Amino acid sequence: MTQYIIKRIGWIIFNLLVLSLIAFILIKNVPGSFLELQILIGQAGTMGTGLTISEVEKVRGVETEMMKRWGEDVPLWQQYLTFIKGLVTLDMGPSFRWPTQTIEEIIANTFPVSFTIAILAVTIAIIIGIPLGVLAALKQNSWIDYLVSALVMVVSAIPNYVMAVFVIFLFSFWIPILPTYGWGQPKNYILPVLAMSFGPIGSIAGYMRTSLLDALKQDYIRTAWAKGGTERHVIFGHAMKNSLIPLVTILGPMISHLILGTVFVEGMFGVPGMGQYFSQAAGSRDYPLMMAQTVIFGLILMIMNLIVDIIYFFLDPRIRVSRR
Amino acid sequence: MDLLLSIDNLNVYFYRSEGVLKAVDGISYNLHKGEVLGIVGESGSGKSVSVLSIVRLLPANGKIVDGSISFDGKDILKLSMNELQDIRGKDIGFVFQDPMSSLNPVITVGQQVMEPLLWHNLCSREEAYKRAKNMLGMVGIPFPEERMKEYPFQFSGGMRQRVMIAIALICNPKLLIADEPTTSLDVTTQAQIIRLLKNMRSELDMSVILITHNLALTSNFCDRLIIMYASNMMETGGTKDVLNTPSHPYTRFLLDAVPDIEVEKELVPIPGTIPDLINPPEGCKFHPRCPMSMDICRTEKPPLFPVGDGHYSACWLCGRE
Repeated sequence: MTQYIIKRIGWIIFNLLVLSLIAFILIKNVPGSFLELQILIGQAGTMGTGLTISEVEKVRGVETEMMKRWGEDVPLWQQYLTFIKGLVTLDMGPSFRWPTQTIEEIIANTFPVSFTIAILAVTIAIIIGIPLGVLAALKQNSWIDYLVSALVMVVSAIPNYVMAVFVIFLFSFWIPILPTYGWGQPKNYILPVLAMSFGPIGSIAGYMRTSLLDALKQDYIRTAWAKGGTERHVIFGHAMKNSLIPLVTILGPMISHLILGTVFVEGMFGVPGMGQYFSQAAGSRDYPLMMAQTVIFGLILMIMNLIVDIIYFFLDPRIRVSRR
Repeated sequence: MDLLLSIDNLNVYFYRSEGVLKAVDGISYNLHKGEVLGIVGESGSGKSVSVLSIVRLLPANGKIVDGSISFDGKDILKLSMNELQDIRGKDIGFVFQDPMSSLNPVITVGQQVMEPLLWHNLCSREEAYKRAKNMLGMVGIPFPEERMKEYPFQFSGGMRQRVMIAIALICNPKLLIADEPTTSLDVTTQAQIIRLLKNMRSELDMSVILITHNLALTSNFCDRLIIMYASNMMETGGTKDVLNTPSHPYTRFLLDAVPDIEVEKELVPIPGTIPDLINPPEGCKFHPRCPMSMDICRTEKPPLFPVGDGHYSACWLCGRE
């Protein structure tokens, strides 16, 4: 097992290198630059979003520092190696868009927020989604099943920012008990987490229903009934154990997308998460942040998949024993 | 001998989108204590459904529409779910056809063998462990204690079927139902499993229903045979009587289709195909394939005519005299 995990971590590092190289080449070849964009916006000064002259100066200063650091005069491969060095030593320098903050600071400040929200949302989705799916499967083709299936479809189809409006209406307007905006207190977590958990509730409930229905059709379930099992023995002792295995596979990608894909919800509730920063990185050609974003997303996805595989290892004896 | 199981005019229908399928069309038989009954027929002849009905283990679209089943003095069709669960696995043990899929892949073999004892609250966990270990040894699994910790995928097909038999027998049932227990196994393993069933029957003193489409397996194990075709009983009687003096044309066809290593003979396939059970033929279900069919066969279903001592045949040829 330890050997397997070490091997997997080796692969993660290798994949990250390949990923960052591809991203580096693509990003370096995209037309336009951060400075050009800012000056364009600055020229449209009346829009109120541009930078003041002193800010342009500051940006120029930062860019010069970046130029020195990545060295536009040195070949691309050397620039790439410098980036990797920064990544390994956790010294990636400041962002273009937020020049007073280094990339490391941005990630250190925002990642815990996004991660906590994502984990809470998935936890709620598991707690609500699994029983819903089980209920629908056990009462297949009854009104409960149809109701759950309809709910699954609705919450999976509605984007989370619309759900955010819904929970704001529900808990801040009709029943005014929660704040709509702000950060710092535990209660500020409630609405964003709720808004983000609806989609995962839908997919987990739907997945659980299908997977349990499939398990209940298996021959070993008939054997369990023939052995004199009650519903509790057969469904929770025999069928659930098998139907949870495929469910685990969707949790990894689900968590990684929740961590990074929260831009709208963060915006609506004023959550200081990663999404805010990363959503603007690409648009403003903020190379350092874009690179960091790519690597972080890849890293989270691969770590989640590794965790899923480890959980799989404990759930499924077929994998556990054959790897021993 | 005392009566253990009595089935009277059992009718089981399957409700499909194409129509109603009569899977069991009015069959009746008795099983005495200690007796071994073989039910023989082609796939889809209703033999499995007829025995699954004994513990009401039919798929959701299957329904027992008529008849009565009496097991050990209890009217099965009137029992509550709890009373039924009390019989399943304890008084009636089941061995299914495919040992690959009939065992739960993520639960240890030991746990699966112990479950009937634990579910019926027959003994403590420690006692169940001991009994499971002994039972696995009895059915011929070497190193039972080590193997109890393993999972089904670590067992060969024949070994898995032995595990299934251990599960079926762990509560010392009054009746063992083996539904094509050897179909998915290779020939040498088939013989071992039948020999094992035979030994266990005499050791544990129970009744057995063996379902098979292989007549050869029945000859030195079963006391009595039922030949089924298209949801109906064609012939029933003592094994020797049925095999030596078959009186139904279908049984004769079946016997002609069994290869014999000692006598060189031509294997004769039965002409035609099994009928569509949603729109079955009128009269005798076998008449479209029967070379001896008469006018009456096409219109009226033959009752079981006595042709010997406890030997009956559902054929108009036998009722002519």
